[in-house]
Amino acid sequence: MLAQLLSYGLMGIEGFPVTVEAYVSGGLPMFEVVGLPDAAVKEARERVRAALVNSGYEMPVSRITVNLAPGDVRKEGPAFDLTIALAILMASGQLHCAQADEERLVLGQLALSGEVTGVRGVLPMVISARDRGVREALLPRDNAAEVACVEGVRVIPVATLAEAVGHLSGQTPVVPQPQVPYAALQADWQPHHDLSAVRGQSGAKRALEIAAAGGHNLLMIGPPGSGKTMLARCLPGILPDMTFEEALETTRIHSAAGVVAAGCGLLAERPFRAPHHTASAVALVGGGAKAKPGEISLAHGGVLFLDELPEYNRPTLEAMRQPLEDGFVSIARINAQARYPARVMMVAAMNPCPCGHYGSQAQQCRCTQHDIRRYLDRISGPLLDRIDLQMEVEAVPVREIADNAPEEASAAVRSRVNAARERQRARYAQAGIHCNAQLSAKQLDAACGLDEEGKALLFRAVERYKLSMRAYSRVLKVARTVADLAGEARVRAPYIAEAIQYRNLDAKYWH
Amino acid sequence: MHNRYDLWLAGTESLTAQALDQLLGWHGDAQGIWRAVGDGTAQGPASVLKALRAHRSESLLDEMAQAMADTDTRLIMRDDPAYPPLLRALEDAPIGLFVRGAADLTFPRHVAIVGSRRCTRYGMQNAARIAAELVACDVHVVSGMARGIDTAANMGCADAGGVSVAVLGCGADVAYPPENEENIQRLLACGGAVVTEYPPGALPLAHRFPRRNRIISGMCSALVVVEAAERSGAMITVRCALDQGREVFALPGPVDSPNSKMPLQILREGAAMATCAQDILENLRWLDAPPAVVDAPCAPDITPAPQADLPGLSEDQRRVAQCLSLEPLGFEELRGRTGFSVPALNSHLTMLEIQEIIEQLPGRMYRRIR
Ligand SMILES: Nc1ncnc2c1ncn2[C@@H]1O[C@H](COP(=O)(O)OP(=O)(O)OP(=O)(O)O)[C@@H](O)[C@H]1O
Ligand SMILES: [Mg+2]
Repeated sequence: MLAQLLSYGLMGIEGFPVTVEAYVSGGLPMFEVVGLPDAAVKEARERVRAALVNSGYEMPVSRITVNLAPGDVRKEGPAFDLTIALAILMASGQLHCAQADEERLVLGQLALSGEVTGVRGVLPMVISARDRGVREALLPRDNAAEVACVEGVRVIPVATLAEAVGHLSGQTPVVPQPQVPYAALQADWQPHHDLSAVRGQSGAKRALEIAAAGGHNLLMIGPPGSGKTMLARCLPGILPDMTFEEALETTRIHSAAGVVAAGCGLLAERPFRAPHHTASAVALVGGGAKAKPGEISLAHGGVLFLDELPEYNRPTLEAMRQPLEDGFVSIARINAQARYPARVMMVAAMNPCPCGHYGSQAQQCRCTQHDIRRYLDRISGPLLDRIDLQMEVEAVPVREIADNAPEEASAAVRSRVNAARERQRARYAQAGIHCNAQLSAKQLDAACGLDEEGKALLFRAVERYKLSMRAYSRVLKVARTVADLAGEARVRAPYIAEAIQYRNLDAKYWH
Repeated sequence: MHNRYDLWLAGTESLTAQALDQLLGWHGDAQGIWRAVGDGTAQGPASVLKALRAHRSESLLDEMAQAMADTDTRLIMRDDPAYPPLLRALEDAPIGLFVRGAADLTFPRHVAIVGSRRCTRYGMQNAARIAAELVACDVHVVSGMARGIDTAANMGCADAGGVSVAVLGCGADVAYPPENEENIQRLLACGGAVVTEYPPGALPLAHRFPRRNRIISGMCSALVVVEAAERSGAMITVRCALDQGREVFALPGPVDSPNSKMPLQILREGAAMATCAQDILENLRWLDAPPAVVDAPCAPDITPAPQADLPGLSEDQRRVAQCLSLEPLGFEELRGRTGFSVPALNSHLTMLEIQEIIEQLPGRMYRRIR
């Protein structure tokens, strides 16, 4: 007998339909899977056999052929286990579907006991399936939360093969997973790290706020323990609220990479990724045999934090330059091809010198000028050119950390950031960009509307600080954001003056 | 003027002044030695003769002469009137000095300033300040142009328009450390000189630096130590200075800084204290010179805080300026004192910086400069 079920495969962050056909016929007993399966798919035979038997079904003693169509696309991973098992039960007459004509998707990995376990990429596969008219999805219970916000699909979470059979046969239907509207998720959300936990540091907090408001990349320089890492971790909490589309896109990438924790739904907080400085270029940018997304894509819509910047391999950093510019990564391999979004805010932290105490009041620096220069030279100029804000962070004295004076919470900062972003969205509706950081040199002048006083100040600054053309446009971009935070249409002199404070590190450290 | 055979002698590193004096006693002059070494009749220690023989080649001499011409280097032998007189009196004086630059090495007032390569802002500032003050009192400053204090002293002198002498542990045409290329040009432009006992092209080998130090102290009347940790190379220079009977000074540093270990130690043992050029001049009885008055940029920490009127500033900017003095103040502290919001304070600071009323230092510190 012949039976057929629908499953889905993953390519990048898109799903594609895979039809699982099972044919059980007379002849010498054997079990074959065809249709360009990879090793994990071939091993499904053993898992399926054990799961069937351990769930109280019979493994037909006959000739079983399973075909995964289309036959010319490579199928990867264990996500077809459940589909194959169910198709065999149907083909051998052990299961009769109550609603056979329903467009239904089945995904899941089987344990030998018959338990259904989670797989990666469920969210993008379910979205793709819904767009093609699939109305019901049988999924591992572990993955159900991930897709709870997808509208238009009935999600049936199953924990065992028997449950799946019970549902399909109509004897013990499983209660569909309740829909969780995105708004509800967002309402519950609290930032993991709140700015109110950071004492003092008003200057650094202001720089974070500007960076968040304009989507600017940020570099923090300061001695060990001055709170750079702590400040950076607070950034997701002050970035503008994620729209549903943004949350969906980012979660899709995380799902495709298999980094969504069981029971976790759509990401309501912007991602914060902090790859270690020993990470390879592939780990950062993506790629490898399976063309998986890299850290820069996992940080899409959020923050990519590079702690101890000078420790990163130079080629690794160079590999990130293009994606930082384009906002996406294209990966082509012989049998896999993918395009992952990668629009991130890059935040980097570093010490001012090898010992970490150059310029610090608290402790003496033990480095020669030459040591310091060599240390700073490890960071490439082109990478620095992509960082609009540079900020020095000094340690807050312990007695002030112990102080209990109330500090502003992230939510208050976020509401100002939201307002500034709203202003940018309105201004750039036609320009095809989202925030000030993306302004091109050409768009810059029109966006700023400098007055005479502002222009005069800029010219003096160019002379005084010997600003390069690039540094000049970075100052203007940041000044644009400062004006947006102040709710002003034009970039006036005081905003430019403030913006200049976030770049004069150039002068002090990089002569 | 040196002759061709002097070049041969000066270029032979293992030839000491004592050995040379012996050879001269037997063979008359440089040419005599050349001839004697050539025909095997020379007398003297075998190792010296061997080294001389190895270098005895007309083509080598041509090369050396060419390299010297290329970099405008002259050779001053011990008997040359241009040879530093204090140095000549030493038992192990270099037999010749390769010199680039116009400085008069027979000038009667040379003071050496040396210190650690790993130094602090405090040390560099004060080395540069004292150098500049010495310039104002008509003193030439000698140092080793190593990173850190040495460079601060050499360049502090040159930048104050004085004659600065850099004694190197490599050839006069070798820029070591590499950033010295530019510094040396500046120093030469101010009438300074680069001095070394090593021939052109000689590499900066480790054993050459301790030997170089005897020249630094040897050509000077006094040595000033600014910042040096316990086992610093500066200690070698101090020992040379003491052996040579030079006056040794130390600039006291903060008592809790590792870089103050040596200066404080030698002060305890009887070295004289140098807080300014005047201390040195008085001790050396060079008092006919006009008292040192040095402009603020080199000596910010000793002049009182500027209190000039600041026309053209807004009320708020003036308030920020008034909270600042030469003593650097951190951003957060400044915000607390002025009570301004962060955006406003940032903006005022830039305006003051642009007018060069304040300057920013590493660590987000600000200070008033006028
Ligand atoms: N302003 C502050 N308020 C509260 N806690 C602080 C503050 N600054 C530092 N800390 C505390 O100090 C610890 C060290 O800070 P953090 O790890 O962020 O330093 P860092 O600048 O990243 O240092 P390193 O250069 O060594 O990475 C934090 O865990 C935090 O508890
Ligand atoms: Mg850190």
